[in-house]
Amino acid sequence: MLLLTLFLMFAKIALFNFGGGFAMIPLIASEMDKFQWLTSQEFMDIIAISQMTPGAIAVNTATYVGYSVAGIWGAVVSTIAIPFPSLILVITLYPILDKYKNHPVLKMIFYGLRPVVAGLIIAAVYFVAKTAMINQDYVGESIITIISNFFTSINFGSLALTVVAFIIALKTKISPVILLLAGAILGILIF
Amino acid sequence: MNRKYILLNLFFTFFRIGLFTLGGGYVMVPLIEREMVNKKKWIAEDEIVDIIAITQSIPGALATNMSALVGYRIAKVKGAIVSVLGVILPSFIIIVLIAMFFTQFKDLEVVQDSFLGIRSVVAGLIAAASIRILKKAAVDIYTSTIVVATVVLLILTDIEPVFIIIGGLVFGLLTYFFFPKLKRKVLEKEKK
Repeated sequence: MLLLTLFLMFAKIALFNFGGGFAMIPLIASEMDKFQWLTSQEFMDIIAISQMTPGAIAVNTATYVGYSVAGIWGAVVSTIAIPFPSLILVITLYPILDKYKNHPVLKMIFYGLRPVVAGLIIAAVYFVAKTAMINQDYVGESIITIISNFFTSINFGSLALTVVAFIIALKTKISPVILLLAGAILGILIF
Repeated sequence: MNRKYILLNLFFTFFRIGLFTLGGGYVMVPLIEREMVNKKKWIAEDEIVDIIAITQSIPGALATNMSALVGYRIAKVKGAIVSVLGVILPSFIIIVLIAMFFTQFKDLEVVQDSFLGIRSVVAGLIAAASIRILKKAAVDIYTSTIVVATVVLLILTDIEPVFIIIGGLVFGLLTYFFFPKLKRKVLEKEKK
């Protein structure tokens, strides 16, 4: 039963995943809230590891979450669930997909979808930052409490790392993997 | 060429691509393109352009979408299946190995500290990615409103993200069918 739940959950996430692995984060986070399988910090560590290892972030994340929830078979069904919807789509509807790939209706659908994907990715920043920047005593407090106690609730070392990583990622072509490794080393040094 | 040979070759080609690409699907698309068009010459140049267009328009991870499409073009259903299995298998093996070991070390203080640093960097990386897509997504007052509404709904309510995604899709469709003026404007902009 747990395996079936995992499979359906990741197949659903894949079916609604446009715009890459980051846009998937709020979708999985919402499911994790529902099932309470992982804490949000555990989930974000998984996202981090998924970015540092080879392969698609979506597949890596699914494998890891599946393994954490239900061991090796959980990993198997979750991994297969990610390509499953698009595989079925390609196998059954290839001629139609091929015919309509440049159709204006598709362009208009993405005109509507792209801002949602942007919103999902911005929300993902919030979800990840919450597990890094907020000091232990304030975890689970409301945004208002956190903001009104800004100086004690925020971990400024973490905030600084985020800002520096943001600027470097935006302005240079340095590989994210190198930035993540630098983050690991700086984390040991400053925290 | 022998069919079995083609399937095996597809499997190992995608396995290698899955094993050696760091950084997710975006990195894989040009890699698969080079492998299939220039090296193996299994797919013509104008065909790969079509495949990339479909890859981006169907849901799911870019890497697995593209593997499925390339595999299907070359060897139909079996080709699609072996290509997808090839590209996900390295991830599976590596992640399971890490997951097995990480659980034993994750409570060590040094590991906790390094992951706090890593999570901080991840937030910065995703923020940078969001700026890049924001430039392409928030092109007018309507789409900018959708971005803000999406963020507010996701952070402040328990709404299922799936419904917001369906909302965006429906908005695009409605524009196509009922708002010809806006539609023309958007399509003209896309051409540039």
